[in-house]
Amino acid sequence: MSGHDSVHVLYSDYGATHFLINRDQCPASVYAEEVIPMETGHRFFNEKLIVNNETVPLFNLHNLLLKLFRFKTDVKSQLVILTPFTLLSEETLSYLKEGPLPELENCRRIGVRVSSETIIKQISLDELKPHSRRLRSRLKKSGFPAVHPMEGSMGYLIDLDRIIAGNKGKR
Amino acid sequence: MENDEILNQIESGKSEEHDVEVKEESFYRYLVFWIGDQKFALPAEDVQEILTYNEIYFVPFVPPYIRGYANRHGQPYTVFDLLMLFENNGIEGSHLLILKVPDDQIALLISDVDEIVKVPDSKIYSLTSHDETSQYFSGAINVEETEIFILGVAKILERLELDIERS
Repeated sequence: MSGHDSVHVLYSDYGATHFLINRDQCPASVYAEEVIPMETGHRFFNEKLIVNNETVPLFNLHNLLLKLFRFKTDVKSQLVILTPFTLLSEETLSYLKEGPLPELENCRRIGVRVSSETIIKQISLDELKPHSRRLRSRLKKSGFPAVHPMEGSMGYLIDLDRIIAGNKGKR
Repeated sequence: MENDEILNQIESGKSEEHDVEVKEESFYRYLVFWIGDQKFALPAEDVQEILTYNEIYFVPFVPPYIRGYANRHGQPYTVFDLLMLFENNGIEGSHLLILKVPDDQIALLISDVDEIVKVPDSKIYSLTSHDETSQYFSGAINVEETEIFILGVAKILERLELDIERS
């Protein structure tokens, strides 16, 4: 976090809904060129990218959001956030090794595909609100720990670690 | 009948009248509103605000009777579609009732507001039927010979808690 009362986020706009990812979870990003398909049996982990001779498995967050929120959009997801495994929990890494990415030992980062229309923004922490009490546990478990209500749009804060492990994505 | 007897009866009748306690009936205020083509009621004191139009934003992982979030003064309110809960058939509504729920932010999607009525105790009663839907009503009121169900908000919230726990 960059201060006590504000935070830098990646901000992806999908019209009446937007998504925020804490920038501390995304230290680097690349443009998704020459994506290589992978056979994993997982609908959101089925591609990889070679970055400077390093294999980076891709998690397609954009497609997951399209499915979960029933968006119909032509927005592409050519932007890839590179997240080192050191920022992921043991639980998430175990899930990946035992599930869609058995060859995880050969990698050190995961790529997360997000909307090409993603920008960096600084927001005040006051703008983030907890979920309504009875929905809180379910949404937090699935990687949406808070909301960002704005005039004309509802935003969801995304916890990358939780959203990867919390949405199994079996075909 | 002798006059004395008549007087006795009249006087005793009068005294009886004096002995009868005049009970004052209590009245309660209810907000009556439409959901689809049916009227429902809530104690007026349980309703914080009526919003005539508010956008509702989709929320994933919730039961189908949760229409989404409404943004009221920068706070997310969970919006219930009770027709979906009762009849598995969503309503086309644009009004929201913001409820006074002490531990949560809850709103009901309704078709329209009807009126606020003052109902005497004698016109408020419990339900005798115990079908699946009646569990969501805390009773009924009788307004101009029409029975209107009173929503039992606590029971509706319990159902949501149960469904969220199971999901």
